[in-house]
Formats: sequence, structure tokens, C-alpha cells
Amino acid sequence: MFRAASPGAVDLGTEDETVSDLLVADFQKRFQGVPPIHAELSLPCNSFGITVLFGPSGCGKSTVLRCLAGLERPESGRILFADQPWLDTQRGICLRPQQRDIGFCFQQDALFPHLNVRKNVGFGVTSSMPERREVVDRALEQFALADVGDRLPHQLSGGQQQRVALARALVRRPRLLLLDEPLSALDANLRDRLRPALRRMLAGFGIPVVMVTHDRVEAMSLADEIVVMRGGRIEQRGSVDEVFTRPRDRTVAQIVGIETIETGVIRELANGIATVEVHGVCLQAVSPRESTRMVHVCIKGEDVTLQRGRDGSGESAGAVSSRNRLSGTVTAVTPEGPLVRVALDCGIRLTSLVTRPACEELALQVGDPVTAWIKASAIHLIPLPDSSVD
Amino acid sequence: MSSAAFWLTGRLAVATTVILFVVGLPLAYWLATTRRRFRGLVEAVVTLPLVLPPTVLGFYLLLWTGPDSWIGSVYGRVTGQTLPFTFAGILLGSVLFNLPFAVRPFASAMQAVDRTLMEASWCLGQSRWKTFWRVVFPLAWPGILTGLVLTFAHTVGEFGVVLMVGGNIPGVTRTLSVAIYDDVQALDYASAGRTSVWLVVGCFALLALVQWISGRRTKR
Repeated sequence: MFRAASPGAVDLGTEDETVSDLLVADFQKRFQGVPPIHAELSLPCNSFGITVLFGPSGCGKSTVLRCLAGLERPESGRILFADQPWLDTQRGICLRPQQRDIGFCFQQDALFPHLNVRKNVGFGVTSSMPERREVVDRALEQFALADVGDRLPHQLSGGQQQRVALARALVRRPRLLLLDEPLSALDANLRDRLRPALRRMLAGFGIPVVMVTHDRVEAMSLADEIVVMRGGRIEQRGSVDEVFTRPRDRTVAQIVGIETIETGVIRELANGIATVEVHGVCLQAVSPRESTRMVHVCIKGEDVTLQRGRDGSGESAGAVSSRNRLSGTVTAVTPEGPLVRVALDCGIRLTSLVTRPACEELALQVGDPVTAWIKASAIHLIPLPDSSVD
Repeated sequence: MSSAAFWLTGRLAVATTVILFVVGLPLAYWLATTRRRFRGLVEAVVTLPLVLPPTVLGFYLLLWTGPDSWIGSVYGRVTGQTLPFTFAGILLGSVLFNLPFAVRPFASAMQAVDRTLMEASWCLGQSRWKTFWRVVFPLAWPGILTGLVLTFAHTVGEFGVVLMVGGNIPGVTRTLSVAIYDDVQALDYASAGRTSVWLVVGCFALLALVQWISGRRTKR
């Protein structure tokens, strides 16, 4: 996977003389009235990979992106791209955006309204380039814009505008691509269709991509590495799986949108399985690495399977592998795009995400009795800091 | 209406407009994009002629550009001439007095240009200079043109500063508006009326042009 970038410590004082192939950043940016933004990143700079800065709006993720681009000047810190210093406040170095050789796509595309598609795409291609025309032609072809080359930006659809912005940034063959909420201006349907295409297209350029988003689905489907931010600080970094399934603490669990987060007490530990009591309900989960008594119990909506009726027939047949079977009633049914969010009361409050057809098949309505099944491995336990047994 | 006054006024208006185009654009660009604290101070100085009586500005110009003054003596040594009661003198007064009429429309037009467009241009490798000519200027052009037309029209109608600094020398500092004043003093109402009608028609045509330009801009 993409984790080769040693996500743990950021090492700026490289001692060996070999050429680094990392983009390493560690800087602070202050704005009046908000906590300072502190970013610590490290990613391979010569190969494709999408790093997603993820977090609620106002957490500073866009500022980090703007600092990488050179549009903001951090008060202190360093940015090193391979062996080229982009920023070193101690040595008074801060390269302008023009000197960094980057591509930046803004949230609202920022196409030049007075220039047609062809001129927008060719804007940054230096006129000294002899094959300028062919380069632009190829880019228009590649981004399916050849038919609209003469149109002005306001005559384009949202998807086309977004492609122009990407083509304009990528036609210059930048060394790093920065995307600020690249799909947020599009409607939900289009976003769902474009996501896989976007990733495939970006992969073809073989350059690192740093992307900002607050959209959980976007982060999950595009990212190789996720950096979760809140209040100007990086809370956790890691692969999609790591961050979304095993958040480090309650804050990250909330940011990544885990539906059920409850506090529980470990009653028993045996054979790597922990029995946790939450509001009088006992759940079985894979035991945490640290020995602890109090835990946060995290259950993702996708991992809660529903069965109609209070007494699952699967139990008597013994054919279900899930360790946890909870009886309860439906308290709310909310459609969410292709999924339906079903809220349950099983002694503890649970949320289950099921597909629309599944929900129709079960004919779920508020007040219906249901049985919820949860695999022990799908329950993630986060040790509470001050509750260690020894 | 004397043709000498007509051509003099035309020359003054064109020269003032050209100078303010050259000087006003960078000043307005700076005002529109800077985040420095003394921006407000500079803006106040630029706006001052809008509220100051022309005679006050003319009075100080006369004082500061006279042959005994610092500016006047330097100018005299370099060119061998004086500023007061010459074309150069009224041109200087006219440029200063018209500063807000040019710079304010320029700056507000440039401020209306989305800053992210400039940032996008920088990220595409374009210098600030190139960004100005390729992005800011084309987008702010209707506002810039408005400022130029206003400056031109306002210079044509300029009276107080010209009279204070330039006096009333035919062919040198006697512009149309000064000529009207002179005609009325001499009770030549027919001549004053002819000149006035031309000025009304000309200024009306120019303002109609400004309206047309700004109307076109809002339609886009």
C-alpha cells in the first residue's frame, strides 16, 4: 500500500546524502482568533498516491493546502520537496507559487471567465514551447473537451468545468497536484459517477495528489492515505481502513462519522475476545491491545445486519457467525442516497445502514421488532486514557 | 468659441487621461490587492480632491510650485521654466485633482475581480505582472474605461484649479471653462452660450457612453 511514507515521525534533518523522494512538511500558520494550524506531513513525491486532508469545515485543511501551494506563508516551519526547500522560515526561504511547479484546483474551479476552454487549458503552457498547440489539443482530447474548446466557462456543465480546471492544472505536467474539494460544486449523482473516473485519471499522471475534503464518501473512495484534522491539528493519519475502522480516539471516531459510539466496561477477557457491557447490554468484541477497563465502543452502520422479528431463526439453526445478536425496535428510518439509515433501540442505541432493496424487503417501519447482528470483529474498542488496569 | 481654447482643453484632457492611465493603474492595483495597514491612508489621500474645494488645491499648488519653492526650483533648474501659469502647471493640477475620478473606478473594478482567479494564474506559473495583463486588466476593463471617460469629462469641465494655477492666458492656460467665465465677465453672453452648449452636449455624450459601458458589464 501507500504507507511507505513512514507516517509516524517526520524527519526533517535527514543525515544521509541520498536524494530524498519525499515531500516533507512541518509548519505552523496563525490566523487571528483561531487556534494555530499545525501540519506535519510526509508523502512520496515521485509516484502517484492520493493523500486526503479530511475534517470538518474550519479545521484548517484548506489552509494547509494553500501553504503547500505557496498562497499562504506560514510563520514557522519547513517544506521540503525532494531536496528542494519550498519553505524554510529560519533561512528566510519561501518560494512563490510560480516557482513550485504545482497544479492547484480551487473549490469553485476558478476558470477565467473571459477566456474560452482552449485558452483556459493553454493558459499556463509557456508560449516558448514549440508544440504548445499539440499539447493543448491532446489535453482537450484526454479530458473529453475537444467539442467544447470554443465555449466560454459559463456555457459549460458543472462536470465539464471541473474537467477544464483539472486539464488546465495537469497540462503543465506539475510535480504535485493540490485539489480543494474537487467535486463539491457538482450534484450528488454526478459526484458518485465521477469519483472512480477521477482516481483512474489522476493515476495516469504518476504524481502525488493532496486533496482536501469534508465528504466522507469522497475520502473513503479516493484516498490512499487519510489525514484527519480538527481545530488546526492532525488527529490521526493512516490508510482508509485504519482511520475509518480503527479510529485512534473518540474525536476521530466522530469526525470519520462512526454511527454508534458508546462508553462501555470490559467484564471479561478470554481468548482474545472481550465482553463489554454497555448500558446493561453485553457485546463481544476483539479485545484491544492495551489492557484497559473502560472503552469507547465504535460500531459502523455498515456492520450492523438486520433481521426482521425479535427472535432470529438463525440462532436456533446456529448458522450465523456473528457473535452479537441484539433484539430491539426500529425508532427511525431515513433514506440516504442509495442507502437507508435505520435507527434502533436495543437497550443501546444502534444505527444500521442497509441498502434500499434490503429495507424494502424487510418492510421496516418505526416500531417494528428487529434483530441486529454484529460480528465481534466489527466492533472497535478504544481504550479510555485514564482507565488502565495496571 | 475660440478654437485655441478648444484645442487647449482637448490637449489638457487627453494628456491628463493618459497620465492617469499610466500612473493610476498601478496605484489602483496596489490599493485593490494590498493588505497593508496604511492602505486606508493612501486611499484617503487619493480621495481628498473629491471633497476639497478646487481653490484650496490650486492655492497649495501655487505655493508649492512657485519658483521660490523646493519643487519649483528643481523644476526650473531641470527645464528652465516655471510651473505656475504654464501648460505643465495646469496639467499637474489637473492630474492631481482628477486622481480620485480615475483611481477609484479602477480600484473598485479590480477589487471586483475574484482573487482566486489571480491565485489560479499564479499557480499556473504566471508572474504578477503577467497575471495583471492576462486576467485582471481584461476583467476590470469596463471599470477602467469608465474611469478614463470620467477623468476626460471632468478635465474638460475643470475650472478652479486651472484658474488658480494657470490664470487666464489665451492659448496657454485659457481652457473652455475659463473662456466662458471670461466671456461672461466681458458680458459676451452669446460666445459664453455657444461654448456652454458644446460642453453640455459633449459631457452628456460621454456620460451616455459610460452608462452604456456599465450597462453592458452588468448584462454579462
